[in-house]
Amino acid sequence: MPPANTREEFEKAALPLLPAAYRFARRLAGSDADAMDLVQEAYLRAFRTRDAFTPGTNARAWLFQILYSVFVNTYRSSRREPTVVSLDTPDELAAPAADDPAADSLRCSAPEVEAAFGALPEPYRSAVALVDLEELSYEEAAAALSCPVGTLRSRLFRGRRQLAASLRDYALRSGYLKERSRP
Amino acid sequence: MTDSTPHAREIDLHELLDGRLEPARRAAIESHVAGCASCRRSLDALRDARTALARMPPLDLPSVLTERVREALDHEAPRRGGVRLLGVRLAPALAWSILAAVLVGLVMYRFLPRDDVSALAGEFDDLRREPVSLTRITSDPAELERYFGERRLGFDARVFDFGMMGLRLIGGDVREIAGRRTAVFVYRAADGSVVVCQMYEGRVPAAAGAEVRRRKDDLEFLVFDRDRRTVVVWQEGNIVCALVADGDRETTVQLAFAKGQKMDGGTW
Repeated sequence: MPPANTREEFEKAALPLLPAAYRFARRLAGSDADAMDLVQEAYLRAFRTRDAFTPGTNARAWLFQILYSVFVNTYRSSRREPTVVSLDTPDELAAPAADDPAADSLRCSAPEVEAAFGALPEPYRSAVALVDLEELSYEEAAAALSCPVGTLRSRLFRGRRQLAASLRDYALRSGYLKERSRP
Repeated sequence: MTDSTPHAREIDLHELLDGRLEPARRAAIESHVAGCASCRRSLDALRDARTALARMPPLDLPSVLTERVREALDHEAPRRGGVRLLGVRLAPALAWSILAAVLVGLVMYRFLPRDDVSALAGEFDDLRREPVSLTRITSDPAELERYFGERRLGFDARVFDFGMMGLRLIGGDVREIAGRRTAVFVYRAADGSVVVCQMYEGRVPAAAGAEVRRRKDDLEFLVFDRDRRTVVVWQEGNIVCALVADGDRETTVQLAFAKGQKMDGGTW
């Protein structure tokens, strides 16, 4: 984003990012009304702090960082989120279990996928949303979430793993997938 | 590969999925996965979970959100000279140009002299609509003449009965046309076509733009075409008379001859 000192310059640089900001906000906040409030507040703060933006760096990551900060400080505290007890570094993650789901047989519907995604604990959900849905790099996503890349990895991997497990459960309950007999 | 073979680290499976492994490391992991059913299932599960995310319904930007953000920014920092016109936000220079042009247009329309013939023709457009907007609705020429007398036009507006020519009087009005008080009366034919007669104190418009000049007795009739309407104008003393019609030009001219001749003879 080029230097956006005036209102017009700010709008020109920031408004094209509105669809992505809304999607991220919606993934975080859940409801449409909360997402719009979140985006509006994030844009106001971005405008107030526009001088802090470094031209040549990733504007989307900068805007997401502000949006996430607003969410954490304003919205998350008022929501009941699943508790995350550990944010291990990736190297400490366990090796995949031998009975991990045979995912090629997963045929979950869109609402089931959406429910599984929405059930992810928030730090995992935001990491998955940024990397797998908004296609940010690990480094960009880490900057947006104001965390080290290692922590981003941990959240992302755990989120994906939990998502895969949830989808497998849905598939088993729905009869798409039969429980494999353990060796 | 047996169960005692060390499995790939989970981080390697994710980074393989995300294309972040160095070529040598990637080749090693791919080789291991190819021979390890457990790691292959894990990789497939992660890949399919990511693929499943793409099946979630798209989140389209609500149409109101852009405007909401702009309004919030308005409170923070009003746009420099930004102007809303009929609900549309315009650049200041453009907005002021439009406003200036509209104002100039209104002033010109209201106060600057319009071409007399165009003004006469323009009035016709209003009077040919249904229902016609006339103050006095009557088919009686005498009643309409009394109405004009009451309005103190300063001249006698004689209303000719064109019934013999298939035109029925609808009614009349006194209007301000091109800055002059003008007696207006309207006739309608059986086919719905309309003839409007207008009279005011003054001189006939400059004849330069007349397509045709016709003479009947001692009167000169100027014939104009305006957007498929025929305007016939002639002078009777200090009164300008005009007939406007959207029918055949010659028929309109003959009607003007009849009225002019009649008035000239004073045999109403």
